[in-house]
Amino acid sequence: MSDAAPSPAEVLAAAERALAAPPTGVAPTRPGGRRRTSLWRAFFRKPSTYIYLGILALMVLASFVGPAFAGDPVATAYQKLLPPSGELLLGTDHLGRDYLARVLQGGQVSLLVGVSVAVLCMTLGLVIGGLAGFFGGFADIVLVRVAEFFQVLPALVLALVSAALFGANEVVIIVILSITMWPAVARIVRAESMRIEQLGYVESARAAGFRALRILWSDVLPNAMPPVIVATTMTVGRAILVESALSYLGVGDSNRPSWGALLNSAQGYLTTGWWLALFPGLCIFVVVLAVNMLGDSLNDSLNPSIGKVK
Amino acid sequence: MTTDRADEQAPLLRVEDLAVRLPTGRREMVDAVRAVSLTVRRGERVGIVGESGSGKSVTGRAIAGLLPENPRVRVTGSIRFDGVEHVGAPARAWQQVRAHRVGMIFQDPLTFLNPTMRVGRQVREAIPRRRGEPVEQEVLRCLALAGLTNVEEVVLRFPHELSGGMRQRVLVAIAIAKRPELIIADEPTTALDATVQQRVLQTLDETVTTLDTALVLISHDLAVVAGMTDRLYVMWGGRVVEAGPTAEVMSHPKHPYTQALLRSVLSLVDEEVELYSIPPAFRDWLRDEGAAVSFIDEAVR
Repeated sequence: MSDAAPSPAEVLAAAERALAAPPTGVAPTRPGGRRRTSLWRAFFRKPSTYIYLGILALMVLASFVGPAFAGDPVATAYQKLLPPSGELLLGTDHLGRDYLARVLQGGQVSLLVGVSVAVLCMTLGLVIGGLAGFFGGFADIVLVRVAEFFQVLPALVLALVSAALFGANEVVIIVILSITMWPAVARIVRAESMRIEQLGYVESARAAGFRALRILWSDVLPNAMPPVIVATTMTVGRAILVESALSYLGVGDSNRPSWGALLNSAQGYLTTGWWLALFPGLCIFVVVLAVNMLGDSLNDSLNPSIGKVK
Repeated sequence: MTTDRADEQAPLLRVEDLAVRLPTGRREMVDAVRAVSLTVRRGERVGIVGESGSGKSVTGRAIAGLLPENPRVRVTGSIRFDGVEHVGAPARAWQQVRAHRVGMIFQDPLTFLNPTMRVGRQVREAIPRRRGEPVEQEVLRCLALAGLTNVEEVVLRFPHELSGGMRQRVLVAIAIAKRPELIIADEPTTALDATVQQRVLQTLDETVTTLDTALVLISHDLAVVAGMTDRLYVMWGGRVVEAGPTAEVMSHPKHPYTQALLRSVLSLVDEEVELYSIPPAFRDWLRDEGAAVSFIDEAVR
């Protein structure tokens, strides 16, 4: 630890030693830390991530644990159309039921439908869009036609018919929404796969002698994920909204009303009971917004090269 | 294995009269490669030089069966590994060739590495499963052989976190992971700056020597090829215009194109001489008749 400045000769000698050293060394892009988690770390470093995750966790917790602490959602125990108060936080509905309990319970159906449909759509979209885009040719033509067929099916009419045929329960709604909504994801995956298929690392993988399906799985699909993640989170929002529309038309289990169904029955009381429409609507709005924002932020962080290329 | 017998009978790779037509538009086709013949023996280093569009890269890709899967792509002639014909072979046979026999190193290391996969996994995936020893050790060994230091760190990195030279070394590591009999390096150092280029070439040289792998080095840069290869093929307009031992071709170029190519390199060294470029009139002459004149050392064949 000498304070004296090194002489030019020393500097030169040091520089030469450095040059003579083995050619490459790892230049850490950031000091210390475990790098296994660097992608997710970027995601979890953002404060906004916690806000959105917190909102969603709160909604999930409230919907699935909350009803245990709230009142009975079906007992007509109170006076009709009581406004929100200290005792009944969200008031009562037109039959005198505890509205807080009903809204909490409604979240179960809405969230279940939203997440299930998004996951199903993403899976179907990745498989079919990936195969079509990566292999091209005849497979592409057939799969695109199949996707187009499902895309033009009117979801609402299909749902009404299915509800009449198979009964109106959540599984039917999830299936109907999924089969009409997956083509949107598949198209994105297909376009991405077609682009990626042209890239160097796919050729590199071919040169390494990998089979086509393996290249699709480990090179094409992971790189197609950023827009797919966004599309999937959008699907969560859209599924919740379409489910609301279906509930609005009366498709759905009337004993387990979703937020959409609550909105539906609130329409006759907009002037006499504003809280009936406000709270389920607010819930839908908050969840859809949080999921979309989260997806957007996830997209930015999960792409390892965005904003980090030197 | 019948390596000895195969060595006597047939070289590792023999290409004869290879011609490749590629579609360039709705109707037009281009003869990217016409009647190229070349031979690579086990452990031999062969260079292919030529300017852009001379057909050298297409030849390299054809050897690995990596031309676009398009019914309009026409490959004729003969490509034989150990005497086994591969032109017209099913995709499966080509895939076996690429999985076990031929490694490729490409020009631009960033686009040829998967950006979403850690380096370690990319190397690991290129190692055939049948090898008995722990794969993780093998990954580290391949990276070290490719001249990377601090390999335990490197395996955890994503390609964009590495420097250009390191990425190129990762590509080398991937290419050697399967212990191929032949490595085709297509402009392996063109994307790197001059000093890094030298080091990467040196490593490639050492690696190929250590593993006793045959090498086909494709480059537009005579200087790169001259220092690393035993034999040299000069390509122009889709044809081999001159072939022979590297030292021979460099010291006594026979074909006017080779002479012109050499002059444009030498002029860079000698400050007195202006940078030589091939005059347009000469190009026209080459196009019309020059390329048809080939000077191929008969001893090579």
